[in-house]
Amino acid sequence: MKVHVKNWHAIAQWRWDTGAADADDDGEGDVCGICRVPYEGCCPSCKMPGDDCPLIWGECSHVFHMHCLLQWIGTSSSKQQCPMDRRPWVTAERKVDRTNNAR
Amino acid sequence: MATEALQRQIQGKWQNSFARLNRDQQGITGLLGFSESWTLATDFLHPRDLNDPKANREWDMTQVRNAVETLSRSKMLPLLLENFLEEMRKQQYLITNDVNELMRQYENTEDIHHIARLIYRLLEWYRAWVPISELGHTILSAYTLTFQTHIYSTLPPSFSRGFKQLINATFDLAGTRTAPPWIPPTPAPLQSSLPIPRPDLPLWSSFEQLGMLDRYESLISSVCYEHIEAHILETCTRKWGERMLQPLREWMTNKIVPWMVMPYARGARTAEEARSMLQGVGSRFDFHVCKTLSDLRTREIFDIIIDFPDSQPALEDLKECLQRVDQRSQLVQTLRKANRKRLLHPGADTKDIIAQYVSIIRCLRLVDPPGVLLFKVADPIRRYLRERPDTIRCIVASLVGDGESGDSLVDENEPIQPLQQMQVEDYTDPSWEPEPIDAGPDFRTNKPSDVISTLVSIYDSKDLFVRELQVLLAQRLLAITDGNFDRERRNIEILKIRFGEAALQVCEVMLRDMTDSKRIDQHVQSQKNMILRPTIISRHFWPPLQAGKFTMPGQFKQIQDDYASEFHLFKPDKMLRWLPLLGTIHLEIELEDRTVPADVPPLEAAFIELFSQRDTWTVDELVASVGSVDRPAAIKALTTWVDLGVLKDEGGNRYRLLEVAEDGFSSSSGAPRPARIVEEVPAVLTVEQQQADQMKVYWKACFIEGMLTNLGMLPLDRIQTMLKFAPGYDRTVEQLGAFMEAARREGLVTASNGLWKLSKR
Amino acid sequence: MSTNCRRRLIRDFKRLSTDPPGGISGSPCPDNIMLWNAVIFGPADTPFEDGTFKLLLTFDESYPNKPPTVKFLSRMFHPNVYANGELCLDILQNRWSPTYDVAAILTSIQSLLHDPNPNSPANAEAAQLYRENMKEYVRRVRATVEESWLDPEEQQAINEAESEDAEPGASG
Repeated sequence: MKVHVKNWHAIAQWRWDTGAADADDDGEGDVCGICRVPYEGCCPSCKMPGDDCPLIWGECSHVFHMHCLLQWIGTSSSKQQCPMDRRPWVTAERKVDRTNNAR
Repeated sequence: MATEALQRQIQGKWQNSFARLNRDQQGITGLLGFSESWTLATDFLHPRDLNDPKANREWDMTQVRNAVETLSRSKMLPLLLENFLEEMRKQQYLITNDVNELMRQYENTEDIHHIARLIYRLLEWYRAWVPISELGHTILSAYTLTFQTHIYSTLPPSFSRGFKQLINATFDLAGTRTAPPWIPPTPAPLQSSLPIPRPDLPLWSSFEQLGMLDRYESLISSVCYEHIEAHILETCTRKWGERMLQPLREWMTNKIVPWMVMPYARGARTAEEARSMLQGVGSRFDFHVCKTLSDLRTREIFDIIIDFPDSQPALEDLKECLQRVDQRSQLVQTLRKANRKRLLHPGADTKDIIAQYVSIIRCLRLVDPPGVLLFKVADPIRRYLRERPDTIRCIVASLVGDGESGDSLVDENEPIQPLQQMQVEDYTDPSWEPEPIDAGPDFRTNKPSDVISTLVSIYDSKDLFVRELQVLLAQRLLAITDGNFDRERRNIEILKIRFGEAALQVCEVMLRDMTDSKRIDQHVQSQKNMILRPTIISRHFWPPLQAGKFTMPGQFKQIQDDYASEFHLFKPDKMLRWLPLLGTIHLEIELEDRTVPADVPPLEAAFIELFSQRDTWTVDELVASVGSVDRPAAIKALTTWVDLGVLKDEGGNRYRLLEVAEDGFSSSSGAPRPARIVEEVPAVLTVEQQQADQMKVYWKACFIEGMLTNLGMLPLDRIQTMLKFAPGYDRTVEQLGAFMEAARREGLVTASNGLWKLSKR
Repeated sequence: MSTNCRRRLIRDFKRLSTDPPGGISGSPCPDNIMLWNAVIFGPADTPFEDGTFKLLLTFDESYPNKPPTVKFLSRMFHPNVYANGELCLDILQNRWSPTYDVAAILTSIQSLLHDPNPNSPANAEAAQLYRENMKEYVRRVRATVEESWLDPEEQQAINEAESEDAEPGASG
């Protein structure tokens, strides 16, 4: 017997590739530490998730909604530190490295 | 001494009487003359027998007048009258005989001819016995009274029936000149040289002379009422497609008014005079027309509403009638009763109830623009709908113009407008008008509200609608395979106007996911041709979807991975996560002797793919190979293939691939049905399911407990306000109250003076 | 116009309600989400054990980029709490981070009850007793614990009585 696939309509969700192990969770998922909204949601200033409300990666490996982080960094009390570890914030280059995540 | 005085007194009296009768003439000549006159007058006045030709003798009227004159001068007229009436009483049996005879004939035949004859006969008697006018008015009226007293005491009860029938028959005589056979030849004295407008004029004159118009006044008007009622029932029943009130009034003018001239304006000399004489009674009859029509339409109201908008003219009639007659409360009662009996019962479909409610809204707005009637009728419907679990779904389905639900509730002519909130009356509005007089104290003016706002206002919160809307939209969007969702987009645009942009933001994201999916797919397909076309959605923005965890085996996994890596190349910072339970796969199963095409859900596809590795599997082996799938779902998927003749249930949880069809499924015995197995799997959890889950969160005692710990004592409405901070909380304050009451019974909280506080532990 | 702060507070509330850390609770005022009432239960094995200490948290629109002002409503005897109820706590001042939420703030305060920091005293007497006379320190703390059980009205009555005692000449 052979099974021939003629066409296939599937449903998928997109996720940010945060480098974290693909947690097969059905819950809220990881949230932005600042606004507490899930990464795949959008920050309080945005209406559309995804490319319109992207994430920002720090070299310290912490991830936030870009808009949330920029707002924090913009305050004087932030001292330009990562809200998580108080190390000076340095935005990381997102390198597309599939070798770690290749499935 | 006394005797002498008495004798003198008698003497004097006698002298007086003698002098009066003798009229100061010589000797007793005066007395003799008086005696002659008396005899003549009493003879003349003697009530004669009409049936006795001899009784009808010629009189010298000069002699009679002289005699009367003589008696008058002797002041003997009262005595003459007394004598005459006494004579009359003696002769009355003659009339009684005639009455009995004619009534007997009528009762035997029910022919009104006999009644008409009786009328004329009575008139003959009346005329034959009437005293001459020289005797004065007093005598005439005493005579008439005595005559009428007699005939009315003689006429049997059946006369009323006959008389009514007779009056009834006169309705058809308008415009006819020749008398119908049932009108007997008019007695000579009634014949008029004038051209008679109606052949029944003499009849009416007779009624009048016999005093019947006064005596039977209510009977005559009741005949007319009945006539009107019968005509309205005959011409208007179930005739809702045209205005009837105006034709009815024309009918009144053409048919009833000419008849009305007979009983009510016979004496009019000009048309103008007739009109003014008819004014009062005409208005009474017009009122009756309105009342009868309004009663009829009230009885029919439920079906008129079903028939709307075809029945609009009937409603306009009703509106006009209700302005004339006060039958508003009857209308409300009747409609409420009909609704209770025919609509608000478990056998009725929710969507039918809603459709009828919408019609009721439209109809009653037409009849009563201020909305008082609607408010009174709608209340039980709204309360009933609120208790039905699928009401919101039905309303939402029709909001988005669900094809299945038939007529959309949304009237295309109705301008789309934001939902109306209940308004506080604005007394500074120059067009403000006081509420109608029958508006109850709880009547709420929601004046310019459209149908959708009215429906949505059944519930306290519009959030429920938005959630249901989201579920419905998700179901539809996920079912779309051709990438065309213009209709959904248009619907959302319309609904945004109603519910506000913010409320539908989530739907906006769903629609954008659809657009993005299409764009992404176009890109991916341009890089590498794929048979997989996914809809890629944003988690958190879709209603909870059926999540399942299983891995597609073999080529399916390969196809998914290929697509996912193309996607990742296009969107380097994103990944795809497949929702394995959802979607549809079109397959062709190529077997030794046949090819079976099928549209199946993913789990079916996964299992059949495993059978391409080996022919026999147990259910447990299959489940273990794909990951976590519950057993009933697995059995169901396998049954699909058994039904298609691809697998065989070997028993003992074992299934075997049929490379060669077994009997009944052979390739020759019938083309394999192009199976469409994709049933309506509810991919999206319903709002009810979601609510049950959320209840646990929002209602957890610790939630309210925390609040009461922090704030001490709180009244119910404050607790409600606080809970409203919680996202998605949509319970009513009543529901909250019931919950708190349950908590109190369990000893968790106490209540005093409307304040809730934690029990001291 | 910023509703960001409100949205965040609603999330804080949800988290605090559905998954409350032990010994604390808090919720916004029904008519003003920017004002929160909270209760910290005195941690076990500390002099504060069994106390129910009430606090008021005041947020402004810059939250979570700025911390709220936090103040004890219950009378406290603690080296890092000022007489007016305000706290001396680094995370509420120069070491604030927008990743803190109400639960985190209350948990930090709870652990402050557990481990006072006598090096930055807000209440010199308490700090001194804490260092030098633990028995008296405990006694003074226990007094506030018992006071914390009273309803606000009862406490009010006591305060009034105390002020009358303090100023006997004023009324006579």
